[in-house]
Amino acid sequence: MTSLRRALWALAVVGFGMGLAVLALMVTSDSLDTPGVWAAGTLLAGWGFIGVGLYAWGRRPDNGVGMLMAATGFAWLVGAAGFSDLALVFTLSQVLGAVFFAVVIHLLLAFPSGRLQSLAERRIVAAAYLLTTVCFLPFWLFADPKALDCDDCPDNLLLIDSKESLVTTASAILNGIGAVLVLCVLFVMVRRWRRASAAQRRFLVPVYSAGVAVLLLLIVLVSAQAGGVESKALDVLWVASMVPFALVPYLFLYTLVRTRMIQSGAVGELMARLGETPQRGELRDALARALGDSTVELVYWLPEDQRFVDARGHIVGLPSLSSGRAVTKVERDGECVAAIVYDAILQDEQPGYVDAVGAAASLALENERLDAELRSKVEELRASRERMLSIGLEERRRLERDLHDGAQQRLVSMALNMRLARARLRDDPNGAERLLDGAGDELEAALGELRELARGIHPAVLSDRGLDTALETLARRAPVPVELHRLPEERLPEAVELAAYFVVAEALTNVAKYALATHATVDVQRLNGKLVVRVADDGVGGANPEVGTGLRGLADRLAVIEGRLEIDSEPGKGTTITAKIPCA
Amino acid sequence: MVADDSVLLREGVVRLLEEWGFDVVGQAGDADDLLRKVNAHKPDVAVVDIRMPPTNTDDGLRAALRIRSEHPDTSVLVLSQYVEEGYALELVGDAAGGVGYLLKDRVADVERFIDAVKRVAEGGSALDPEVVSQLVGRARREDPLEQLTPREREVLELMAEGRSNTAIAAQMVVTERAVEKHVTSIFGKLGLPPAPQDHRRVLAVLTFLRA
Repeated sequence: MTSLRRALWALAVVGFGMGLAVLALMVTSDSLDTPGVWAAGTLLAGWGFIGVGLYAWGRRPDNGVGMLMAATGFAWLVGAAGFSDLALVFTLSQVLGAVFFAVVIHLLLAFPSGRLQSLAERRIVAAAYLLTTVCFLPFWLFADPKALDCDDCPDNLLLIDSKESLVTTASAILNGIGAVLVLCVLFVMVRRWRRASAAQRRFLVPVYSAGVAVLLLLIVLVSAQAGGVESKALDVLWVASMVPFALVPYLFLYTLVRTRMIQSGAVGELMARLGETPQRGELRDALARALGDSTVELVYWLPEDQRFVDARGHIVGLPSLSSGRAVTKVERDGECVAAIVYDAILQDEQPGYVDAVGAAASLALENERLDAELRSKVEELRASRERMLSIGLEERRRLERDLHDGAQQRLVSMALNMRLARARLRDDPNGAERLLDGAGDELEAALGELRELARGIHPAVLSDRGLDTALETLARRAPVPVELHRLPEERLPEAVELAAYFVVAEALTNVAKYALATHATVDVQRLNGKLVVRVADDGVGGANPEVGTGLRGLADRLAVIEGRLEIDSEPGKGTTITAKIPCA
Repeated sequence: MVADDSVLLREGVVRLLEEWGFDVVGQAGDADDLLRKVNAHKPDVAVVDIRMPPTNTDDGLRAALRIRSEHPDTSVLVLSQYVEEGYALELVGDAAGGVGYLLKDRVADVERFIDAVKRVAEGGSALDPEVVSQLVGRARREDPLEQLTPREREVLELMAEGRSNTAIAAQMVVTERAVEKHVTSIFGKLGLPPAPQDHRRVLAVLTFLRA
């Protein structure tokens, strides 16, 4: 038995004892007309709260609800001891018993997570405790029960001086503040109810309905008292409010038991359902039913991309802790398969249950994961095709610009120079010669530009001689020394050669532009049906494919032929670009 | 012998050569035609476009290599649309005599083109300055070329193009004596054995540059 368990059992014994004591006090009380009824109701509520509270506490030590319920029970019994004829017990009970209201408010606001969620809630609860302790104590220094229409009550031992008018006024003020607090609590509860999901409401219903009934009756009681209604009617109201209050722990217990039963049934039903190979979307519905949460979402893990996608293959992020959503990852053979995103309330209520449901559905989830992976690939291809299209258009625009700004301008200027030269040929032969020289230079430059342009579009040497010769040329032209390691000597499919060539070309361009490297190595080898192209430099690293179009465009080019690009570029450790291109 | 699949250019080159006193014995429009006609006419020099039918890739270059191995007496000058120093090195192989690799554009610079054809026909060599500058300019880990003075570098490039000392002296406007001094200094700095003949010198320099 753990120390917690021992403590809980001890508390249970204390509670039981207190109940018996209260019973004895009430039965012998002079101030009650029907002590039996009062005692039965009091014990039903007190022991109920203590018993259920301690049970819940033991089951979920991290959730404060159980503790608060037990505290409510104890506070209730302390208050009930006020019926005693013994002056000491009566006095203590009157002074301490008021805390009961604060505990109830605390319980209602903290239900079901056991935590107060907002600053406003914490303030309400703090005000309630303050009101029922510090503010109440001075009150009893001046309140004489006999002067307050309770002729049968014993003496108030704290009494200094009986001041009836002061006490009546103070009582009215305290009751008024209490009523405002109760209204605040009601407001918070109503608001929370309206925002609650179906799953949350299921947990809230029993406790909230009883809580609201108690609070409403409390307000009626306070206002009736203030309105001077006679004590018989007050007693009726008091009993009426006791009934829903006494029911709270039993309703709570009922919710717990029912949830458990529903859940164990639901896992069985889920297993049966999954046996019938669910159609798309049905798995989510089945899990939603099993968890009793219609907001359940399923996301699937793509190990290659290290991220989650939804059933349609779109990339999704996991919700944050504060969003009221909880995430349970489902694993299969030690590998993450999917994650169930659901209402965080389920986690508060039944930790481990979602894990059980997830484990039961892991095979089906793995199947759906494959489906989602496929969809994600299709989605990626679609996006990549769009990017390719726009890259293509952009390249054409660039070509047009280059041709127009470069070669065309030079040819125009050359034509002009030649016409001028022709006109000067007779009168100014020297000038004509200079013009023709200029025209010749322009022509040479234009030819050079056209050559470079053609090489950028398609390197002739690649189709002529294959990858190794083309890469040798690239390496020779690189602005830093480039070591060529393994190169395939045989010819490869044209698309593969072209892709590999552009990987090296782009990588070496980046080395020249950004890396501040002193040298680079290129290594190309066939491995398991793939051509692995690796370009490494010893530069500054920190290359990011999301910035700039070069690497991104490269990844797209590769995606078209099912290739993948990996970039390893830790700052300060150089950059290694690896492309894996399928090549049977 | 002139081989080019573009009739316009081929006719142009032929006219140019005839005007400068060459005797053009045949014209070819593709690589097979070229080999056949070289076989038949045994010309002194064949001017060959690199890109030709049947495959329109580097057929001209491969035909040129065959001519070099099968007809050592026929020199070959290859014309290319683009600078591909790998091709030039391949063409030269291990003998820089009677071989040339020029950008097609150079045809427009008539005097230099004719000079190159003559040089190649006479068993010398002609490498395009672009090719040479690619070879000289490539990044090296420990670059011995950095020991050269700018002047020596210029001489090195002209040597690699296949120019004679006389031509280099004329181009740089210095005496032949000065060029010889530069050459000796370059060979010393690069640790190359002295090579008297122009085309051997080219090979030595190229071998160094490609390493």
